[in-house]
Amino acid sequence: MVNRRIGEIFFTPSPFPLSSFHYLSMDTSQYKALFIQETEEHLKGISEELLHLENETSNNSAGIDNIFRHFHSIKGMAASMGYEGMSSLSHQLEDVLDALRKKRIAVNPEIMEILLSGADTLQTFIKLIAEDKPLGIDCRGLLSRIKAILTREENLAAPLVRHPSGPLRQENNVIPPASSHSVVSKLGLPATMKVDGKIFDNFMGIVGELFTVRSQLKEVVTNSFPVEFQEATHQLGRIVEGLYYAVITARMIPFEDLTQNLPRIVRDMCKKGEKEIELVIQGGDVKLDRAVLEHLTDPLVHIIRNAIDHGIEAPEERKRLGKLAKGRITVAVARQRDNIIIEINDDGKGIDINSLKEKALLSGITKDRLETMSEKDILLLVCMPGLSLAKKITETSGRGVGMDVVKGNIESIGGRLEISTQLNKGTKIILELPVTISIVKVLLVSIGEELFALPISKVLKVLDVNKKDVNNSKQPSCFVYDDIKAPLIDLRSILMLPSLEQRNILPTVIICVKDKISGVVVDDFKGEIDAYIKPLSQPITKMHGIIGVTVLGDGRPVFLIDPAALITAG
Amino acid sequence: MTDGDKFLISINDKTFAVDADVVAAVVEVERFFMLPVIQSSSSSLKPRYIKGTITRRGEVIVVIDIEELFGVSSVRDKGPYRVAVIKKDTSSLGIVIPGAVQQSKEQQSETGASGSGRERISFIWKEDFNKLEFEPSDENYTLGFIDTAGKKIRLVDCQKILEEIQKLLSRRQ
Repeated sequence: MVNRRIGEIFFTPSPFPLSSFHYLSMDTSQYKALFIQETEEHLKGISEELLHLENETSNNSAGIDNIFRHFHSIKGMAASMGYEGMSSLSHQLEDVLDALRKKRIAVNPEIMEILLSGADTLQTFIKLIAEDKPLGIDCRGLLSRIKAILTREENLAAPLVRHPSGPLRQENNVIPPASSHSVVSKLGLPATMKVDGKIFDNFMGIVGELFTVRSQLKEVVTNSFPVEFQEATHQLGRIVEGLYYAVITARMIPFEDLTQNLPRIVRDMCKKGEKEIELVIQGGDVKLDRAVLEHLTDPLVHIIRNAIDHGIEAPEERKRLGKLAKGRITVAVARQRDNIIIEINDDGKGIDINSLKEKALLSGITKDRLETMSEKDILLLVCMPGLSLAKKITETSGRGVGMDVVKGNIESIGGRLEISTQLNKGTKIILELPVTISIVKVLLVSIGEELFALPISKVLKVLDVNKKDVNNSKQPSCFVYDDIKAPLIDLRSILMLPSLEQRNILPTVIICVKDKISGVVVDDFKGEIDAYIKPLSQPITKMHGIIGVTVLGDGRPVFLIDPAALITAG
Repeated sequence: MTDGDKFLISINDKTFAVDADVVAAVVEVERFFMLPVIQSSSSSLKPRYIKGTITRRGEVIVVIDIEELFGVSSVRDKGPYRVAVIKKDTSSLGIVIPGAVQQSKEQQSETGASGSGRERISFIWKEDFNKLEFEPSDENYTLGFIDTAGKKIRLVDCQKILEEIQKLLSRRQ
């Protein structure tokens, strides 16, 4: 967890459910491992700081502040998790620290003993929680000692002496430095580990390359090697696959990990904009590849901010329109095969298409082009850089930046964005994303010497189309597939390469995007592989229609083409 | 620009310089791979100075003909090619060194020496650069000109080139 300093306030964002957002009744068991890990880290911090404090030769207000914050964090996390005894004890210990900070009492061995005992007791709580045992710890003795300390005025008289070169010494009433029941009597390692995400990214990279090599090896040995070699290759393939799934599982995290701060963002914006909004998150337990979630952080915040700033009306306005004073934003997540669908709905004023058209004309879109565009395509114009429908610019939105970032981020990982709206009823934004962007099953096709990849998830079939079955009377050319008239897109022409005129048979990939069937004519089919797709690096990060790239074992780059872009271009 | 060593690429009678600390490697490749540009309603043709891509350590690098960027092309249609790989922060760029490999082979046959073809690559060391006259310039993709005994060497602004490529090839719809 990253500590952030804001002005003079130092706080640690809690990964645990916020009690103020109606999460108390939810199942917190999924957070237990994380709670234990975080608390152990805080207890380690407390232990280190207390030992420093005990050996300090002068008052260490920074150290006291640190210990206070550790107890404060434990208190908050324990309360969120429903461990009241732990939360209450942390609260009392926090009071001791607060009294020390405010110099109502001074550090002395008795206080040190209480703080150490407190930390030990919290450690015992953690041990019992980890073992799923009842938390029957009697803290009454410790709590009454804390109470006595806090009410005893004479503490202020500093009954301890700080020796110029040594630790705290007690003058009278010696209290044993550590209680005999201290739980910190042996060394141990936590059951869960915190690992830097980058380590997993590197790990994934290596496994990904291994995966691509395995695919190629499989292809090579199928025809030309003895059975024993083929079997060994198959075995190797299974191991690599197992390794891949192990890594990908470790990288899958629930969607709610991304949205944990969303209630707070909504709350703060509502307060600032004097709006009332209920945020509902559905399907937070759906898991996605961390790499996909990383691309969603900015888009999600942009969309929610837009909904609050420009979608949901002020309470009075809503009442006037016959709506509930409190607006509603719903973020619903669901998995559909290899895709994740995120729907963000608001019940605000919706998007005024006519006003959007006017803005689009002012932004340089021609009238002719606007007339040929569908309503869905017109709505996507809100993603044009610089185009904003906002009547006022707020601190967070309305400058025409944001939705272009949203579209860019989503498309950069092969995702899709769709907007629908009803005036005065609300707006729905759908984000369709792959569950993982690391290893994708692809169909390799060739154009001249070059290889390209198409995601198998969008491929229905490959077939040879006879040139005489193609209707060229209108553009785009079309042919009949499965009793459906389907447009035929020439990949050579899309890539602005000269076409192969002399052939009569057209190798065609049938793709289905957004329920629309099209044929893509290629030079040849080159088989199917599991490819480790990497995002493009600068300066080609945002190339239209290219999702990513994989590099084959022989060094050839294979660009993964976005089928949706082919349909638009065709 | 840094005042460190400069890496020089000589093409015909012209010499281009880049900061040596951004040159990650000089690699030899048989061919360039295609950089696909997908047609869209507002897409423009790929600039002619972009020759394609190469891969290095699993990364795809766009290769440009620097002379064509500044005017005339001198890159042959067929490889092998020698490419200087420029790494700047998270961006990479390949600058093709025209004729370098071919020259090496010709020289080998002429002299019998095992020339490496690096004759078109040289350096100006930091100490020498500080003694030379440097004239800043507003010309496109140019930081300025280094004057070496009357011969002007163009110090290339790699950052500007990268930005321009990014702008030209960015997604539009």
